[in-house]
Amino acid sequence: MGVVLEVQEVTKVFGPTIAVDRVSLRVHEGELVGLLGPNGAGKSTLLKISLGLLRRDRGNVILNGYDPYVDSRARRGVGVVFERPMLPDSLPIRDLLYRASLIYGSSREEIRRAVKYTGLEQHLHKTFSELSAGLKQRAAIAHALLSRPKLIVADEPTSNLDPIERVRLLELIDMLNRDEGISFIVSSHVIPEISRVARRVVVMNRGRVIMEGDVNEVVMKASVARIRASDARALEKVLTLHGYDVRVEGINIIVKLKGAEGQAELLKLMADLSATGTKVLSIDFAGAGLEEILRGEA
Amino acid sequence: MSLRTYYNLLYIDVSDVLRPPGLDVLVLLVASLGSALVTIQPVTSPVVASRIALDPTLFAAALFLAVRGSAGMAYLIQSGIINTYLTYPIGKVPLAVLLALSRVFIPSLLVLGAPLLILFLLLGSVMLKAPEKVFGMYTAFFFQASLYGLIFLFFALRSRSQSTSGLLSVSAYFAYTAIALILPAIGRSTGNETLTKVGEAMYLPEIIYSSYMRASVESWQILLVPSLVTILFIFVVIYFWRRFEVI
Amino acid sequence: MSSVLRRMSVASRLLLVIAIGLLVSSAIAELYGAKLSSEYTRTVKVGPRVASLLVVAAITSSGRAEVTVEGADSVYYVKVAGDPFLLAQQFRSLRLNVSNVRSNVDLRAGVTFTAIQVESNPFLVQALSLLGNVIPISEKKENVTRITESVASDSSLLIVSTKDSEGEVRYIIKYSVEGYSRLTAPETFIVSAIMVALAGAIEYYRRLTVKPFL
Repeated sequence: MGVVLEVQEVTKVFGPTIAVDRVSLRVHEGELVGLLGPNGAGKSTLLKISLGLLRRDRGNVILNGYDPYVDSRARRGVGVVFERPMLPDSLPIRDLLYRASLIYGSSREEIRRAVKYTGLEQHLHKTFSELSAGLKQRAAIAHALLSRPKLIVADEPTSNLDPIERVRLLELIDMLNRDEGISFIVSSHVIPEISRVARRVVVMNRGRVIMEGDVNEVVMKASVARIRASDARALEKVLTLHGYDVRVEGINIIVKLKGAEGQAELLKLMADLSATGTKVLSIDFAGAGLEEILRGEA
Repeated sequence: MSLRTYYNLLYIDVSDVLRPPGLDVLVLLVASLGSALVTIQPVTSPVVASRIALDPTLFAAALFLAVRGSAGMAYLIQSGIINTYLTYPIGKVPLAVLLALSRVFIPSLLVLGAPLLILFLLLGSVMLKAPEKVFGMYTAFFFQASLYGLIFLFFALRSRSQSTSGLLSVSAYFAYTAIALILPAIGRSTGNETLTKVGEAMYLPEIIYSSYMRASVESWQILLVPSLVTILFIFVVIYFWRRFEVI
Repeated sequence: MSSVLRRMSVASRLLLVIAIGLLVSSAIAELYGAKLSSEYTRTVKVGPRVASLLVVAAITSSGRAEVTVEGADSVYYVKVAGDPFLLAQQFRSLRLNVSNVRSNVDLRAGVTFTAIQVESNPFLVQALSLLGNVIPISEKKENVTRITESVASDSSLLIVSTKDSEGEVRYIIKYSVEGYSRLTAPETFIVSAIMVALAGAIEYYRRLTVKPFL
């Protein structure tokens, strides 16, 4: 698999603050990479540098074989969706997509497909500001799709959406990645969202990459689970009795797993407890694992 | 990149700058006012007609450039629309040129052109006596408006704030106008002819008008404003290319 | 209204706005439009020490001025080239002793008439020659002199009248504008209608080109 985006040892400094500190990452063709980190971790800055929108102080960026800060050819075939999607408001979406298609050189069929994918058929006569938050994000994705993308860079694409819109958008991203083979780099601070779509994650905090790899491997490294039960205090006692390192966070219990077979062991125990009447509402390994990594770093 | 790419991005941004109803109301006012001024008096000289119609229009054009050109550019930066522009496969230098076109040159051409178009329709026989002189006056006013517009555009890129760039733009406009009035006054009272001529040259339409009215005008006076426009244009493009960063 | 305009192209919007502007200015022209002639009469006291100057300056128009001077012993005139607004400045540079300046601006005819009293001395005509060629009028009938000259926004007429004894000089000026014409109201209406139709055609063409894409 070829590399679409390669970031090598990139550093960006804003005054006294090091926003991005010697970060390296790669996005391969057809890959969906999650860029995870709390607010202020440097995700957006890194993505802007990757697109050539911001100047870097050190390091190299190769996008589509070119340095995006110097050569605009790097952005050919790269679609972008920002956290607060903003498209010009002066034209109806129909006209705007039409003009964007002429900029990117995409065909009529590609416009139709972008509109169909994003479900904007009924809203083409509206201007961007007349759309709801979810539709704005969809319009931004339709706009990005017109670039005949090999890669879509999505910076916190779900942050302004309600839970239903979030799920729809993540499904759309997943579908575009699987069906169209479009590479994605999606940043977010919402762990369950990233773990839902990304096959590989890069975890950033305070401008640095603190962990990188397959989602499953990263989660396994963290070896924790978050359990939600009807009676957290009672479950805490039972798990402690079984020798688990447990802590209660509100109505959730964070459980440290034991060794390589920890997941299977915990699931078996929970199944047994369910059978004896303990109500277990959810068990989350991925989200809890990533959260633990960030917490540990913090 | 093909010209089609540039044209379509220019189209998108021009549509933003010229979005209704701001432009429509402004053009209606300046066009009606400018042409009314030349119909309530029997203007028989195309040069005088152009001057009468374009003098008040220049003020309106400057305000339009401050609000839509400068504050509009700051909004583009604040809202993140500029990020979308920058994600297009277009270099920063051509993008800077496109922004100068859409935020300064095209609005200036349109706002100043509207009253002249009405003048040509309404007073065709008068205006066609010397169309080249009308074009000369139009060019002079265009350069003057572009000078203000480029200063405003720089403020927007530098401050990135709508209110700050708007205020700075209006202040700069009045400061420039005041200097252009004060210098000749000082020059005349102190007998310093150079000062007088510099002050006069800061307002190109008057210089071109005087030359058409057979008054003595020096060639550097004609070239001062166009030179300033060229220098500012290059400066804005270089600033956008080398120094400007998105939020 | 704004949402309708928002869906239109800049070109068609400008055409519509200019069509309206054209109608507005035509209406103003019909109600308060330019006059094509103007008249002015002024009597000025003159004598051995005081001469009289009359300036006919076409500030925006151009035309023909017929000036009748009654009661003057000698009459000269000068065609002064340049912007009439700069005439006062040029005049000041002659450093003549001026008093009693009376101006009448007829904006609708685009002309100003100014009568001035000035200290008379043997060098007056010589000083005025700095502004242009001073032409003496020798033809006179019953102490009445007539001058007919063209004036424009880049050339003004200056008439000097002197008298050897105390008395009055009377100026009667008839100014008629030449070279001015504008669209009539029905013509304006037709041009506006064409512009509206053109705007409609542009919008129709735009719909045809963009819609099939989606």
